[in-house]
Amino acid sequence: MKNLFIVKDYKEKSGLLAKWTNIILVGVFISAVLFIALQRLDYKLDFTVLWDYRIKFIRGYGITFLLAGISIFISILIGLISAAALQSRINFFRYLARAYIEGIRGTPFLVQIIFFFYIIANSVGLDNRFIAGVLILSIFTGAYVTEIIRGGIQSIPESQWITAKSLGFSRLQTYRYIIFPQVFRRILPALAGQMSSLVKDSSLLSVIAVSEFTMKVLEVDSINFRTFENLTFLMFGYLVITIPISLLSKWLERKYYYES
Amino acid sequence: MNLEIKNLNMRYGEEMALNELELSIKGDKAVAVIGPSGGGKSTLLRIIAGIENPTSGFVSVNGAPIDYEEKKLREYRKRIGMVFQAYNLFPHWTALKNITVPLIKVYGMHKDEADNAAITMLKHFGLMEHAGKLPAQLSGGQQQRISIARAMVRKPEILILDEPTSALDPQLTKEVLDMILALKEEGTNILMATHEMAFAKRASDRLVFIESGKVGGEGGPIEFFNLGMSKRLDEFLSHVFE
Repeated sequence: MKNLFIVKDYKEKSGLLAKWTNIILVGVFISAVLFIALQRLDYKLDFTVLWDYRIKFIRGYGITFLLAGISIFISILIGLISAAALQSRINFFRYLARAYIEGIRGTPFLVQIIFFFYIIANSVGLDNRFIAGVLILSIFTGAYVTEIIRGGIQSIPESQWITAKSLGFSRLQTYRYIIFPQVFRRILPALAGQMSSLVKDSSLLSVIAVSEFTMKVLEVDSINFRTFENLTFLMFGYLVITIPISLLSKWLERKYYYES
Repeated sequence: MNLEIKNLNMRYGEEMALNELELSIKGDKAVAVIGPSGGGKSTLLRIIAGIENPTSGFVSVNGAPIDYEEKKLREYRKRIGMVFQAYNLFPHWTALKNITVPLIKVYGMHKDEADNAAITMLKHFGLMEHAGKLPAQLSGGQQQRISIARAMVRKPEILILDEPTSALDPQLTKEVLDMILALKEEGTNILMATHEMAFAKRASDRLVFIESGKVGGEGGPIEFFNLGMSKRLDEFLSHVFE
């Protein structure tokens, strides 16, 4: 009986019965908290009210999906370019990349969104909110991707560079055939985690009225006032994207673990 | 091999790794470089291998002076086979790929041609059973032997070995030294830094003692170990054979 609830060491793998017993317990606990909260507010749950707004939701979800998908691609591209700039022998590029990384990582995303949209995007006449959103999200995530790539490159021991050199590989060939294939495998888990953040961060773009999922749900909320149902649905919508990414990242971590 | 080295200096910041080093090797097949750690052995070997640029000085290999300009160096490196202390193999490639990829990408060989050359080499050294393994699945000795095979497949003018056994236990050391001895008997030009004195004595035509960035004595295997060549060498040898 005790085995169901307590293990000797947290790394120990628990049995199937213990696993599901505890998962159900956690579920009951969370439901209870929510139930009490709703009781106190005297709130009657009714998820059927959401059905009327399905078109809005689907549109918003589609935009979030598209927004995140394109941004993932661009942010990795930005990360690659800026990681290369960090290794450049040209000082200007190196300092520019450093300024970019520190600037982005040291300031709140919300402030960046407003700054970029109302000042930079406005000044260049970019008024398409979707495109602006994609760019802002990509530039933001790109700084974190840069750091992930840089860490990956640094994790390859110096001896491999020297060996590659002695074999006659050029610098570019060394990156292409020796460094990057290994870096890519090593950073995949961290990269997947960053992409999961990107999906969630996209919700902040609602402040500049990009009509993504959060924006749509909040819109509906101001019509039907069913806040609990709306937000539960909203969170669930993000989990549907982020949980598979998280599982993928765990799987990748296990897959490449043996090599190091 | 023929080596001609004059006024060779290598400075890392304040430290002089090589200090006006002079060395002349004429026609010896196997040359052992011995001396205390940090004395400049590795630096000398790396400069001869064309992977480090000396601060100043002249190096000529088999009659051709090395031009320390990156493009020319890359061509030059194709003529040299180099094996380091450890971690020579790229961990994401099998033993076979470790040998073939450089042939394909650096020498521009066809894949079939590279495969054939690598397989011939692996069979020759009795390493064929390891062809499909990743470095992590091989022992340190096997890794070093594959590295030597990779260096030999390019038919190098000189095989340069930088303490190839110093990261191995005695048994693995033996299997690597046996391979080097076999290569010597096949007539390979070998330039090897080592702490294995008995092996150096048995396998080299010439020994060079490097200490404090200079040559502190050199000679054939018999004269080298006779005391009296230089005070520092005598001291070094007396420590080694204590």
